[in-house]
Amino acid sequence: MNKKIFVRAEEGEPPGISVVYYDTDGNKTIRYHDKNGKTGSHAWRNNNPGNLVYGDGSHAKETGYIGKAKKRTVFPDYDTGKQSMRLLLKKEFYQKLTLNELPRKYTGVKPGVPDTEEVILYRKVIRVISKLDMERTVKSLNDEEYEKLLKAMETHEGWIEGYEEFKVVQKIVGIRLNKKRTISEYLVKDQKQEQWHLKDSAIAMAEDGRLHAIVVHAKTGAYLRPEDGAKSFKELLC
Amino acid sequence: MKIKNFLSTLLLSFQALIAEPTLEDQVKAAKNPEYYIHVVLTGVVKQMIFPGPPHFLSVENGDWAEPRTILKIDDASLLRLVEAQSRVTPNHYLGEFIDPEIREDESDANLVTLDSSFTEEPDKIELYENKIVTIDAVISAQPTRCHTPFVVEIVEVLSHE
Repeated sequence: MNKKIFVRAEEGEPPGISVVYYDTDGNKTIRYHDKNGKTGSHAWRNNNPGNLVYGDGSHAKETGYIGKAKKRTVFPDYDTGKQSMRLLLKKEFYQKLTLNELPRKYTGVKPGVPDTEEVILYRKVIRVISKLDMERTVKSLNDEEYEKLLKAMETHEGWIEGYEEFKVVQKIVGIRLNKKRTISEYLVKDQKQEQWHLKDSAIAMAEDGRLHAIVVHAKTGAYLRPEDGAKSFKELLC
Repeated sequence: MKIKNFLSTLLLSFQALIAEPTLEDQVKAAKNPEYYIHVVLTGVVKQMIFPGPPHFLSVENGDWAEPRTILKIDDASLLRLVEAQSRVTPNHYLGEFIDPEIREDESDANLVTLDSSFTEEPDKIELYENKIVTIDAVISAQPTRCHTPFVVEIVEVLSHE
């Protein structure tokens, strides 16, 4: 099976507990926090091993982001997310810090207040995993040592794979009109076949995110309209 | 005099280690008076705990506790903050880490993380917990572990209850 290439991502519903990825075929892959007995970490859900925030978006955009969820950047895959973290820590903001100072800055503990429990453990994780001198600055590390630091930080940030669901999103390739000249049926195409669906069935599919169409709820009832940039339904009349 | 110069150098070195504005920032600020974007904010000081890794959802369920000092600002302050932050460019202080497009309708926009690193003087803002304060602040960076839309550094507490 070919590896899916994700081109866009967004926060799932309800917010904060899932991320929806869209691949080049318009199909969805959803990564959940907690589903089917599996618990996935935030870093895994966002393909963001450093749990980097989106910020002003410039670093995210420079390093291949495809969306944001829970204020943090979503990357198309682990390697892209790791590279973004690698480049972020190359900025002077972090380079000047010693490894002892880094966890405070990285976890946002302000100067003048005591270390949090997290900072204390974060240091320990860096020290034990990287085996580096904690008084060295990030800037002083050679490539191999820098990778050890990233690996240690990634361990603390928590990459835990959870449940991932693949949803084929089908396309409308034809319509039929009734005597009143309104759409009564949609011809829906999945990866293998085409099938006619009554209007209500097609609306239900769209509401469930399984059909490329937008549900409009009007006073006279619900109806479908094409997604932005898609063909008008009039052009699909059979 | 030599001792005074030595102490000044020592203080600057120490400041460079603990305070966020670096010597490079100070040089840029000397050339550009608008380098630091100031805003006056009024609100209630709160100590809040946010969930951190691995899930960023619940401390009770095992996420790391990330305590923060927060200023819960009033509506007028929020509008001032949004306007001030909208002026941030990559050429301003920490501009490459700041999102200038955040608006007042962002979730929890009135919760502002307070970071005291702008000066070497301890701000002791924790002493004002649950009290209303007015502060002069500088728009600051959203660090990796940012839990609120806005972050500022305290320059000075202008008034308090």
